[in-house]
Amino acid sequence: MKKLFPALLLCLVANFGVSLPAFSHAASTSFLILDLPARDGPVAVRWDLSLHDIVWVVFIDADYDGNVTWKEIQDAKPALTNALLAQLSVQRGGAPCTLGIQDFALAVRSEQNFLSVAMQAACPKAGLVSLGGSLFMSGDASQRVLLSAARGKAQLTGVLSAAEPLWTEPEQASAWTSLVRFIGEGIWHVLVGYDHIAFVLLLLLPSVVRPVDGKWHGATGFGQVTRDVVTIITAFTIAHSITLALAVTGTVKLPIRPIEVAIAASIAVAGAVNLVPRLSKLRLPLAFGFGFVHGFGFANALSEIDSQGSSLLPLLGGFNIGVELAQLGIVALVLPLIYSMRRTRWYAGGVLPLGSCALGMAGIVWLIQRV
Amino acid sequence: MRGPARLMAVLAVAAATGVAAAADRFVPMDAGFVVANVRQSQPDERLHELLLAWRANPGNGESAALATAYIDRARTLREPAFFGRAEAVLAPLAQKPEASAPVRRLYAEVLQYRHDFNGAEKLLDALLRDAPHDSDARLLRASVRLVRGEFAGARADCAQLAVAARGGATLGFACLAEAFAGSGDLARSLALLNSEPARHADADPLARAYLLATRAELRERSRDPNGAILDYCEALKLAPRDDSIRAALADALAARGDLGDARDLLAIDKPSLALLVRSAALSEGAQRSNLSARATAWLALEAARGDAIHYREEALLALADADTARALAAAVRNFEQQRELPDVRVLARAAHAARDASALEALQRWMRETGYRDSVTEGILADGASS
Repeated sequence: MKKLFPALLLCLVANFGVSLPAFSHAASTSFLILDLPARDGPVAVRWDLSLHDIVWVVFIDADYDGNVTWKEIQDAKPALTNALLAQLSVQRGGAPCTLGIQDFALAVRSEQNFLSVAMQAACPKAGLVSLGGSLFMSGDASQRVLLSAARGKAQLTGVLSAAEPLWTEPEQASAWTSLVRFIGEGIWHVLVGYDHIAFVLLLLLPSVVRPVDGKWHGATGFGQVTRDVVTIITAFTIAHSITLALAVTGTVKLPIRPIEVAIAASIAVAGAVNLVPRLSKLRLPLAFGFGFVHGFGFANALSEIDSQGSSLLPLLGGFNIGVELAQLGIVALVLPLIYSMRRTRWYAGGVLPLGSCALGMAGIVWLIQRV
Repeated sequence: MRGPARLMAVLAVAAATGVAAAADRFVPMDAGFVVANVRQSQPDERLHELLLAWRANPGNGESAALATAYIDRARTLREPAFFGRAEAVLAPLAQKPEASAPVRRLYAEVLQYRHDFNGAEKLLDALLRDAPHDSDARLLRASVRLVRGEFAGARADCAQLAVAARGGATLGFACLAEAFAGSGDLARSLALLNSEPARHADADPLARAYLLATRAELRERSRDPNGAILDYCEALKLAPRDDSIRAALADALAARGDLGDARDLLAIDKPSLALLVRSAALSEGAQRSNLSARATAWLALEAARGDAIHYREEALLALADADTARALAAAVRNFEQQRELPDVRVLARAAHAARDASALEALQRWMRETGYRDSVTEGILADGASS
C-alpha cells in the first residue's frame, strides 16, 4: 500500500485531505528534432513543446479562461519568439549560430496538442553541432527534452535535463574505426552466442565422413573435406549475410521471438539430420535455408549495440566479417581434430552421433524455452 | 537475449529513437481552436505568492511551504510535473546540514515517488537519527521499507507508530499488520487488523481505507478472495480516487472470473498506467489494440526519458501480449525496486510464462528467507516446479 502511505502522511502533516496516488500521463517532455544535412550548412531545428510548460514562462491565456486558443498563441507570438530564442542556443564548430523562427504549428504527442516551432540556425563555422539552454526546464527537475538528429542516414538521439542541459553531436567515427570496432563485435557475438556455435559445429561434424550404404565412413583426403566445409560454410554465410543486410537496412523487419525459436529449431533439425547418413545430402540446403534465419538473429544482436555516429557500410561489413572470422576460427580449431579422428570407429559410431544428439537436444530445450 | 538488463537497455534505446521522431504538424483552420487547457498546470494565486516568497528567500520555511503546495497539487491534480517542481525547490537544500526536518522529509517523499527508495531511506535514516520521535518521517520510512520488502525494519517502525499512535492507532496497527504479513504471519496480521484499537481508534477515512486494503490483501493471500473483494470495495468507497486500491480490486475480480465487473471498474476518465494496462489485458479486439497501443506509447516515452517507475506495468502489459522475455526482464527489474504483492505475483507469472527455472528458484529462495506467503504465488511456483 505504498501509494496510500504518502497521501496519509500529507494528511498527518498538513491536513490536506484526499490525495491521488497515480498519474494519468508521464512527466513533462519536449522534443527537439534536428536535421544536420551538411557539415557547414544551416541546421534545421524543430521544437515541440507542451503548453503546460510554456505558460510558466510566457503569458498566453489572455482571457484567463484556462483555455489556450490558437488565436491567443498567434497574439503571443512576439513574447513566444523572445522566450524561445532565450531558452535555446545552438553552436557549430564552437561558434554560436543565429537562430531564427520560421513558423508555428501544432503536433499531437502523448494525446496532447504540442506547440511545434520550426527554426533554422545559421552557423558561421563548420563542425559539430552542440545545443543547450534552459529549454523551459528550469523549475521542474523532472522535465526532459528528447532529441533526435538526422545526420545523413545516421540517427542520433539524446536526452537533456535541467541537470544536463547540453547535447553535443558525436564525432563521426571514421569508416576504418567503425569497421574494426564492428569486426570485434561480430567475433564477440559468435563466441558468446552458444546457439550459433552449436549450429556451426553440427555443420562441421559430418564433414569428415561420407555416407556409404547407410553408414558413415571416413573421408579419403583433406581436399575432399575442405571442399565440403567450404561449400557448406559458404552457403550458410551467403544466406545469413543476405538477411543480416535486409534486416539492418530495415528492408525486412521480423519480431525477435519467432527468429529465436527458429534458430533453436535449426539446431534440433541439424542434429537429427546428422544421425541419419542417408540424409547427408540435405546438409547443404539446410545450411543455406537456416542461414537466412541465423542472419536475422545476427541482426537482432547488432541492434543491441550502440551504433550512434557509425555509417551503415562499415557497421554491416565489419559485423559480418567478424562473424565470418569467428566461424573460421571454430573451423580452424575443430576441423583438424575431427579430421584426425575420422577413420576411427568411435568417431562415426560415437563422437558424431553422440555430439549431434547432445547439440540437437540442446536445440530442443532452447526451442521449448523460447516457444 | 542475454539477461534482463541488456534487454531493458535495448528497449530503452529503441524507445528513445521511436519516441523522439517527428509527429505530423498541423495548423488549425479555426482561430478559436482550443490547443490546451492549462488551468491546472499554471500557478494559481496562492501558489504564485508562495513562489514569489521562495524566490525572495529560498530558506527552509519557504521551500517546505512551496514544495508542500507542489506535492499537494501533484496528487490532487494528477500532474507529475509538480513533483518535478517540488524536487527543483527541495534538492538544493535537502542535502545541506541546515536543511529542516520538513524539507528532508518532503525530499524523501519526492525520491520515493521517483522510486529512488534507497535515497529516500538513507535520508530518513539520517532524519530519524536526529529526531527519533518524528512520527511522519517514521511513517514514511515504514512505507519505503514495506515497498522494498524490508519487513523486519518496517516492523520496528510500525510498532513505534502503533505505540505512539500519533495520527490515529489505525494507521500504526495497519502498518504493523502489513509488516507481520510480509514475514508470513498472516493469521497474526489479520487478528491485529480485527482488533478493537485498529478498528475504532479513529475515523479518518484514508486510514480506514488503508486498513481495509491491507486486510483485503491478507485475505487474498490466505485464499479468501470473496472476503478480499468485500474489503477492497469498502476501501475504495472511502478512497474512491486511489488507483492502487482500484487496481487491486480489479485484479481480485478478474481472478475470480468477474471480468465484466473488473472491466467496468477500470473504465474511468484519465486512467493511470496501472489501470490502463489492466484494461488492455481484460479487453478484446480493437479496444484491446487501442488500449495496448496507448500503454505501450506511455511506457516508450518513459523509457526514452530514462524514467524507471513503471516496470511492474510494463511486465503486466508484456504478459498480456505474451511477450514472455520482455515480461520477465521488466518483472525482474521491478522486483529489484519493490516487493509488494503485485510485484511478487507478476514476477512469479513472468518467470513461469518464460519457463525460467532460475528466476522461479530466486523468487522461491526470497520467499523462504523472508517467510513471505501468498497462496497464488505458491501455486504458480509449485506448478513451475512440476512442469
